[in-house]
Amino acid sequence: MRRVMYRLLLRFHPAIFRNRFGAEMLEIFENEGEPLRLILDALFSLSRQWTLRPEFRRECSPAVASYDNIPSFHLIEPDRLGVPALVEGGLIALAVLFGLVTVLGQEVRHPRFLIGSYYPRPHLFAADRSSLAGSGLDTIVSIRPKPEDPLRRIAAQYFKRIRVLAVLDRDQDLIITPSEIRAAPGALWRLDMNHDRKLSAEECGFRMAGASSPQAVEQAKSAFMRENPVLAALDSNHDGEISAAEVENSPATLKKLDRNGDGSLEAWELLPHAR
Amino acid sequence: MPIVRPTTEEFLPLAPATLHILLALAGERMHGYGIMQEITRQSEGRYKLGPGTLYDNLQRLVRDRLVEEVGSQDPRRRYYRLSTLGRGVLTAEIARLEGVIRTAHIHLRPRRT
Repeated sequence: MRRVMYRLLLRFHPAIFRNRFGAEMLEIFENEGEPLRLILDALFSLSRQWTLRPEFRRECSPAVASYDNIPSFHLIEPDRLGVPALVEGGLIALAVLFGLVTVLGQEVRHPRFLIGSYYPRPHLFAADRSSLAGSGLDTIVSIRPKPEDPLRRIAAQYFKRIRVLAVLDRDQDLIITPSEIRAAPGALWRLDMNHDRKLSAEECGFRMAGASSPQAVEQAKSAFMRENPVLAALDSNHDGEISAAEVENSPATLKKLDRNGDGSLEAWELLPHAR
Repeated sequence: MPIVRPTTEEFLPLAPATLHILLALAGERMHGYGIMQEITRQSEGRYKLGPGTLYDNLQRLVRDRLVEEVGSQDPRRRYYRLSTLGRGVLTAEIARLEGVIRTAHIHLRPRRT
Protein backbone atom coordinates (compact mmCIF):
# COMPACT_ATOMS: atom_id res chain seq x y z
CA MET A 1 0.00 0.00 0.00
CA ARG A 2 2.81 2.40 0.91
CA ARG A 3 4.65 1.43 -2.27
CA VAL A 4 1.54 2.17 -4.31
CA MET A 5 1.22 5.53 -2.59
CA TYR A 6 4.87 6.31 -3.29
CA ARG A 7 4.50 5.33 -6.95
CA LEU A 8 1.45 7.57 -7.19
CA LEU A 9 3.38 10.50 -5.74
CA LEU A 10 6.16 9.88 -8.24
CA ARG A 11 3.65 9.76 -11.04
CA PHE A 12 2.43 13.24 -10.21
CA HIS A 13 5.91 14.70 -10.54
CA PRO A 14 6.75 16.62 -13.73
CA ALA A 15 7.65 14.21 -16.53
CA ILE A 16 11.19 15.51 -16.96
CA PHE A 17 11.93 14.83 -13.29
CA ARG A 18 9.99 11.55 -13.18
CA ASN A 19 11.66 10.13 -16.27
CA ARG A 20 15.10 11.08 -15.07
CA PHE A 21 14.95 10.10 -11.40
CA GLY A 22 11.71 8.15 -10.85
CA ALA A 23 13.13 4.65 -11.23
CA GLU A 24 16.03 5.35 -8.89
CA MET A 25 13.76 6.98 -6.31
CA LEU A 26 11.51 3.92 -6.35
CA GLU A 27 14.52 1.65 -5.95
CA ILE A 28 15.71 3.68 -2.96
CA PHE A 29 12.23 3.50 -1.46
CA GLU A 30 12.30 -0.29 -1.71
CA ASN A 31 15.75 -0.51 -0.14
CA GLU A 32 15.27 1.99 2.66
CA GLY A 33 13.46 1.01 5.82
CA GLU A 34 11.63 4.23 6.60
CA PRO A 35 8.68 4.40 4.19
CA LEU A 36 6.79 7.15 6.03
CA ARG A 37 9.82 9.48 5.98
CA LEU A 38 10.30 8.84 2.26
CA ILE A 39 6.63 9.38 1.49
CA LEU A 40 6.82 12.70 3.31
CA ASP A 41 9.97 13.52 1.37
CA ALA A 42 8.17 12.71 -1.91
CA LEU A 43 5.30 14.99 -0.90
CA PHE A 44 7.69 17.89 -0.31
CA SER A 45 9.48 17.06 -3.55
CA LEU A 46 6.18 17.08 -5.44
CA SER A 47 5.19 20.52 -4.21
CA ARG A 48 8.72 21.82 -4.76
CA GLN A 49 8.90 20.60 -8.36
CA TRP A 50 5.60 22.17 -9.35
CA THR A 51 6.03 25.46 -7.49
CA LEU A 52 9.75 26.27 -7.31
CA ARG A 53 11.21 24.57 -10.39
CA PRO A 54 9.33 25.91 -13.41
CA GLU A 55 12.58 26.37 -15.35
CA PHE A 56 13.04 22.61 -15.69
CA ARG A 57 9.56 22.14 -17.08
CA ARG A 58 10.09 24.90 -19.66
CA GLU A 59 13.25 23.23 -20.84
CA CYS A 60 11.32 20.19 -21.91
CA SER A 61 8.29 21.90 -23.44
CA PRO A 62 8.07 21.12 -27.15
CA ALA A 63 7.94 23.91 -29.67
CA VAL A 64 4.38 24.71 -30.56
CA ALA A 65 3.57 25.34 -34.17
CA SER A 66 1.31 28.31 -34.62
CA TYR A 67 -1.49 28.31 -37.14
CA ASP A 68 -3.61 31.38 -37.64
CA ASN A 69 -7.11 30.97 -36.28
CA ILE A 70 -6.73 27.20 -36.00
CA PRO A 71 -7.05 25.84 -32.47
CA SER A 72 -4.29 23.38 -31.65
CA PHE A 73 -3.47 21.17 -28.71
CA HIS A 74 -0.09 20.01 -27.50
CA LEU A 75 1.34 18.15 -24.57
CA ILE A 76 3.35 20.12 -22.04
CA GLU A 77 5.05 16.92 -21.05
CA PRO A 78 7.74 15.63 -23.40
CA ASP A 79 6.68 11.99 -23.39
CA ARG A 80 3.79 10.75 -25.48
CA LEU A 81 0.76 9.27 -23.79
CA GLY A 82 0.86 5.51 -23.73
CA VAL A 83 -2.02 3.06 -23.71
CA PRO A 84 -1.91 2.57 -19.91
CA ALA A 85 -2.14 6.33 -19.39
CA LEU A 86 -5.08 6.56 -21.78
CA VAL A 87 -6.83 3.65 -20.05
CA GLU A 88 -6.16 5.23 -16.67
CA GLY A 89 -7.52 8.55 -17.90
CA GLY A 90 -10.59 6.85 -19.30
CA LEU A 91 -11.28 5.05 -16.03
CA ILE A 92 -10.89 8.27 -14.05
CA ALA A 93 -13.24 10.07 -16.44
CA LEU A 94 -15.80 7.27 -16.08
CA ALA A 95 -15.50 7.37 -12.30
CA VAL A 96 -16.03 11.14 -12.27
CA LEU A 97 -19.00 10.81 -14.61
CA PHE A 98 -20.49 8.04 -12.49
CA GLY A 99 -20.04 10.14 -9.36
CA LEU A 100 -21.63 13.13 -11.02
CA VAL A 101 -24.62 11.12 -12.19
CA THR A 102 -24.99 9.58 -8.74
CA VAL A 103 -24.92 12.98 -7.06
CA LEU A 104 -27.44 14.39 -9.51
CA GLY A 105 -29.61 11.31 -9.03
CA GLN A 106 -29.86 12.07 -5.32
CA GLU A 107 -31.99 15.12 -6.03
CA VAL A 108 -35.61 14.64 -4.99
CA ARG A 109 -37.17 15.99 -8.13
CA HIS A 110 -35.94 17.93 -11.09
CA PRO A 111 -38.20 20.38 -12.87
CA ARG A 112 -39.08 19.26 -16.37
CA PHE A 113 -39.25 21.83 -19.09
CA LEU A 114 -41.06 21.46 -22.36
CA ILE A 115 -40.53 24.05 -25.03
CA GLY A 116 -42.55 23.66 -28.18
CA SER A 117 -45.98 23.73 -29.70
CA TYR A 118 -48.73 21.18 -29.82
CA TYR A 119 -49.52 22.11 -33.39
CA PRO A 120 -47.11 23.21 -36.07
CA ARG A 121 -47.14 26.98 -36.41
CA PRO A 122 -44.61 27.89 -39.09
CA HIS A 123 -45.13 31.61 -38.53
CA LEU A 124 -43.93 31.25 -34.90
CA PHE A 125 -40.65 29.61 -35.86
CA ALA A 126 -39.18 31.63 -38.67
CA ALA A 127 -36.53 29.61 -40.38
CA ASP A 128 -34.40 32.58 -41.32
CA ARG A 129 -33.41 33.65 -37.80
CA SER A 130 -32.13 31.97 -34.68
CA SER A 131 -34.58 31.36 -31.89
CA LEU A 132 -31.89 32.57 -29.49
CA ALA A 133 -31.52 35.96 -31.12
CA GLY A 134 -34.76 37.46 -29.89
CA SER A 135 -34.95 35.85 -26.47
CA GLY A 136 -33.41 37.19 -23.32
CA LEU A 137 -32.27 35.34 -20.24
CA ASP A 138 -35.52 36.29 -18.50
CA THR A 139 -37.73 34.55 -21.06
CA ILE A 140 -40.55 32.73 -19.31
CA VAL A 141 -41.92 29.58 -20.87
CA SER A 142 -45.33 28.58 -19.57
CA ILE A 143 -46.91 25.21 -20.17
CA ARG A 144 -50.65 24.79 -20.46
CA PRO A 145 -52.75 21.63 -20.61
CA LYS A 146 -53.10 20.02 -23.99
CA PRO A 147 -56.13 21.65 -25.65
CA GLU A 148 -59.05 19.44 -26.49
CA ASP A 149 -59.45 18.56 -30.14
CA PRO A 150 -62.66 20.32 -31.31
CA LEU A 151 -63.33 17.53 -33.81
CA ARG A 152 -63.27 15.01 -30.96
CA ARG A 153 -65.94 16.94 -29.03
CA ILE A 154 -68.21 17.02 -32.07
CA ALA A 155 -67.53 13.35 -32.76
CA ALA A 156 -68.50 12.39 -29.21
CA GLN A 157 -71.90 14.05 -29.60
CA TYR A 158 -72.35 12.54 -33.07
CA PHE A 159 -71.56 9.01 -31.87
CA LYS A 160 -74.21 9.40 -29.13
CA ARG A 161 -76.80 10.63 -31.56
CA ILE A 162 -76.26 7.97 -34.23
CA ARG A 163 -77.07 4.82 -32.26
CA VAL A 164 -75.50 2.61 -34.91
CA LEU A 165 -72.14 4.23 -34.14
CA ALA A 166 -72.79 4.01 -30.39
CA VAL A 167 -73.20 0.23 -30.53
CA LEU A 168 -70.42 -0.31 -33.03
CA ASP A 169 -67.90 1.65 -30.88
CA ARG A 170 -67.94 -0.70 -27.91
CA ASP A 171 -65.00 0.91 -26.07
CA GLN A 172 -66.29 4.44 -26.78
CA ASP A 173 -62.94 5.69 -28.04
CA LEU A 174 -64.59 7.23 -31.11
CA ILE A 175 -62.73 4.81 -33.36
CA ILE A 176 -64.30 1.76 -34.99
CA THR A 177 -61.46 -0.70 -34.84
CA PRO A 178 -61.05 -3.77 -37.13
CA SER A 179 -62.32 -6.06 -34.36
CA GLU A 180 -65.34 -3.83 -33.84
CA ILE A 181 -65.96 -3.90 -37.61
CA ARG A 182 -65.86 -7.71 -37.58
CA ALA A 183 -68.34 -7.76 -34.68
CA ALA A 184 -70.67 -5.28 -36.38
CA PRO A 185 -73.59 -7.70 -37.16
CA GLY A 186 -73.93 -8.75 -33.52
CA ALA A 187 -73.73 -5.17 -32.33
CA LEU A 188 -76.28 -3.96 -34.87
CA TRP A 189 -78.83 -6.66 -33.97
CA ARG A 190 -78.93 -5.21 -30.46
CA LEU A 191 -80.69 -2.20 -32.01
CA ASP A 192 -83.52 -4.37 -33.39
CA MET A 193 -85.90 -3.58 -30.54
CA ASN A 194 -89.05 -4.96 -32.26
CA HIS A 195 -87.26 -8.06 -33.53
CA ASP A 196 -88.44 -7.61 -37.09
CA ARG A 197 -84.99 -8.54 -38.44
CA LYS A 198 -84.38 -5.10 -39.86
CA LEU A 199 -83.36 -1.70 -38.54
CA SER A 200 -85.62 1.26 -39.04
CA ALA A 201 -84.50 4.89 -38.99
CA GLU A 202 -85.78 5.23 -35.41
CA GLU A 203 -83.79 2.18 -34.31
CA CYS A 204 -80.73 3.74 -35.95
CA GLY A 205 -81.17 6.93 -33.89
CA PHE A 206 -83.65 9.09 -35.78
CA ARG A 207 -85.58 11.52 -33.56
CA MET A 208 -87.89 14.31 -34.64
CA ALA A 209 -89.22 16.85 -32.14
CA GLY A 210 -92.58 18.50 -32.53
CA ALA A 211 -95.60 17.54 -34.57
CA SER A 212 -95.06 17.26 -38.31
CA SER A 213 -96.96 15.84 -41.20
CA PRO A 214 -96.31 12.19 -42.07
CA GLN A 215 -94.84 13.29 -45.36
CA ALA A 216 -92.35 15.59 -43.61
CA VAL A 217 -91.41 12.83 -41.21
CA GLU A 218 -90.74 10.43 -44.06
CA GLN A 219 -88.61 13.03 -45.82
CA ALA A 220 -86.64 13.64 -42.63
CA LYS A 221 -86.10 9.90 -42.16
CA SER A 222 -84.94 9.55 -45.72
CA ALA A 223 -82.53 12.46 -45.26
CA PHE A 224 -81.31 10.97 -41.98
CA MET A 225 -80.49 7.66 -43.61
CA ARG A 226 -78.96 9.31 -46.65
CA GLU A 227 -76.83 12.09 -45.14
CA ASN A 228 -75.09 10.19 -42.38
CA PRO A 229 -72.23 8.31 -44.04
CA VAL A 230 -72.34 5.17 -41.91
CA LEU A 231 -76.14 4.78 -42.39
CA ALA A 232 -75.94 5.55 -46.10
CA ALA A 233 -73.28 2.88 -46.46
CA LEU A 234 -75.14 0.24 -44.45
CA ASP A 235 -78.44 0.91 -46.29
CA SER A 236 -76.89 -0.11 -49.54
CA ASN A 237 -80.18 -0.27 -51.48
CA HIS A 238 -81.25 3.13 -50.06
CA ASP A 239 -84.73 1.99 -49.05
CA GLY A 240 -84.57 3.80 -45.71
CA GLU A 241 -84.04 0.63 -43.66
CA ILE A 242 -81.14 -1.70 -42.91
CA SER A 243 -82.29 -5.16 -43.85
CA ALA A 244 -81.09 -8.47 -42.39
CA ALA A 245 -78.86 -9.05 -45.42
CA GLU A 246 -77.40 -5.56 -45.08
CA VAL A 247 -76.72 -6.18 -41.37
CA GLU A 248 -74.95 -9.44 -42.08
CA ASN A 249 -72.93 -7.76 -44.84
CA SER A 250 -72.08 -4.76 -42.60
CA PRO A 251 -68.37 -5.58 -42.09
CA ALA A 252 -67.68 -5.43 -45.82
CA THR A 253 -69.80 -2.31 -46.15
CA LEU A 254 -68.06 -0.51 -43.28
CA LYS A 255 -64.63 -1.24 -44.76
CA LYS A 256 -65.59 0.86 -47.77
CA LEU A 257 -65.66 3.92 -45.47
CA ASP A 258 -61.98 3.42 -44.55
CA ARG A 259 -60.56 6.17 -46.75
CA ASN A 260 -56.96 6.01 -45.54
CA GLY A 261 -56.89 2.21 -45.57
CA ASP A 262 -55.61 1.85 -42.00
CA GLY A 263 -58.29 -0.71 -41.10
CA SER A 264 -60.06 1.54 -38.60
CA LEU A 265 -62.83 4.09 -38.99
CA GLU A 266 -62.02 7.38 -37.34
CA ALA A 267 -64.26 10.37 -36.69
CA TRP A 268 -63.17 12.29 -39.77
CA GLU A 269 -64.19 9.29 -41.89
CA LEU A 270 -67.64 9.04 -40.28
CA LEU A 271 -68.77 12.62 -39.73
CA PRO A 272 -70.96 14.14 -42.50
CA HIS A 273 -68.97 16.54 -44.69
CA ALA A 274 -65.79 15.92 -42.69
CA ARG A 275 -62.58 15.51 -44.66
CA MET B 1 29.04 37.47 -27.02
CA PRO B 2 31.69 36.26 -24.58
CA ILE B 3 30.80 33.36 -22.28
CA VAL B 4 30.52 34.54 -18.68
CA ARG B 5 31.79 31.82 -16.35
CA PRO B 6 30.27 31.84 -12.89
CA THR B 7 32.59 32.45 -9.98
CA THR B 8 32.66 30.25 -6.93
CA GLU B 9 31.46 33.11 -4.70
CA GLU B 10 28.18 33.30 -6.58
CA PHE B 11 27.14 29.94 -5.12
CA LEU B 12 27.95 30.76 -1.50
CA PRO B 13 26.77 30.14 1.08
CA LEU B 14 25.66 26.60 0.29
CA ALA B 15 22.51 25.08 1.67
CA PRO B 16 23.16 22.17 4.10
CA ALA B 17 21.86 19.57 1.61
CA THR B 18 24.04 20.94 -1.19
CA LEU B 19 27.09 21.02 1.06
CA HIS B 20 26.57 17.40 2.10
CA ILE B 21 26.09 16.23 -1.50
CA LEU B 22 29.26 17.99 -2.67
CA LEU B 23 31.12 16.57 0.28
CA ALA B 24 29.91 13.06 -0.51
CA LEU B 25 31.05 13.43 -4.12
CA ALA B 26 34.44 14.89 -3.14
CA GLY B 27 35.97 11.41 -2.93
CA GLU B 28 34.76 9.45 -5.91
CA ARG B 29 31.91 9.24 -8.40
CA MET B 30 28.66 7.88 -6.97
CA HIS B 31 25.08 7.12 -7.87
CA GLY B 32 22.14 8.67 -6.05
CA TYR B 33 21.65 5.97 -3.45
CA GLY B 34 25.40 5.89 -2.82
CA ILE B 35 25.36 9.65 -2.15
CA MET B 36 22.55 9.17 0.39
CA GLN B 37 24.44 6.42 2.19
CA GLU B 38 27.69 8.41 2.17
CA ILE B 39 25.94 11.46 3.67
CA THR B 40 24.49 9.27 6.43
CA ARG B 41 27.92 7.79 7.08
CA GLN B 42 29.74 11.15 7.11
CA SER B 43 27.20 12.71 9.49
CA GLU B 44 27.13 9.56 11.61
CA GLY B 45 23.40 9.20 11.01
CA ARG B 46 22.50 12.71 12.15
CA TYR B 47 21.64 13.96 8.67
CA LYS B 48 19.48 11.85 6.39
CA LEU B 49 18.60 13.05 2.92
CA GLY B 50 15.41 11.86 1.23
CA PRO B 51 15.54 10.90 -2.46
CA GLY B 52 13.23 13.76 -3.41
CA THR B 53 15.56 16.32 -1.85
CA LEU B 54 18.65 14.56 -3.21
CA TYR B 55 17.55 14.44 -6.84
CA ASP B 56 16.13 17.95 -6.74
CA ASN B 57 19.59 19.19 -5.62
CA LEU B 58 21.37 17.00 -8.17
CA GLN B 59 19.15 18.39 -10.90
CA ARG B 60 20.18 21.95 -10.02
CA LEU B 61 23.84 21.08 -9.41
CA VAL B 62 24.09 19.47 -12.84
CA ARG B 63 22.42 22.49 -14.43
CA ASP B 64 24.86 24.84 -12.63
CA ARG B 65 27.77 22.59 -13.69
CA LEU B 66 28.94 21.95 -10.14
CA VAL B 67 28.32 18.25 -10.66
CA GLU B 68 28.78 16.21 -13.81
CA GLU B 69 26.89 13.14 -14.86
CA VAL B 70 29.23 10.37 -15.94
CA GLY B 71 28.54 7.27 -17.94
CA SER B 72 28.42 3.86 -16.35
CA GLN B 73 27.90 0.23 -17.28
CA ASP B 74 24.77 0.05 -15.11
CA PRO B 75 21.88 1.41 -17.20
CA ARG B 76 19.60 1.62 -14.19
CA ARG B 77 21.71 4.14 -12.34
CA ARG B 78 23.25 7.51 -13.16
CA TYR B 79 26.60 8.30 -11.69
CA TYR B 80 27.77 11.73 -10.64
CA ARG B 81 31.09 13.34 -9.87
CA LEU B 82 32.27 16.72 -8.72
CA SER B 83 33.29 19.11 -11.51
CA THR B 84 36.23 21.46 -11.28
CA LEU B 85 33.83 24.30 -10.59
CA GLY B 86 32.10 22.21 -7.97
CA ARG B 87 35.34 21.38 -6.26
CA GLY B 88 36.21 25.09 -6.23
CA VAL B 89 32.83 26.00 -4.75
CA LEU B 90 33.19 23.30 -2.08
CA THR B 91 36.68 24.53 -1.21
CA ALA B 92 35.45 28.11 -0.98
CA GLU B 93 32.53 27.04 1.23
CA ILE B 94 34.85 25.13 3.55
CA ALA B 95 37.10 28.18 3.77
CA ARG B 96 34.07 30.33 4.54
CA LEU B 97 32.94 27.91 7.24
CA GLU B 98 36.47 27.88 8.70
CA GLY B 99 36.26 31.68 8.94
CA VAL B 100 32.89 31.35 10.65
CA ILE B 101 34.40 28.87 13.12
CA ARG B 102 37.38 31.16 13.82
CA THR B 103 35.03 34.04 14.47
CA ALA B 104 32.94 31.86 16.70
CA HIS B 105 36.00 30.80 18.71
CA ILE B 106 36.97 34.42 19.20
CA HIS B 107 33.54 35.45 20.37
CA LEU B 108 32.94 32.40 22.48
CA ARG B 109 36.40 32.54 24.19
CA PRO B 110 35.97 32.67 27.96
CA ARG B 111 36.48 36.25 29.20
CA ARG B 112 38.97 37.07 31.95
CA THR B 113 37.37 38.84 34.83
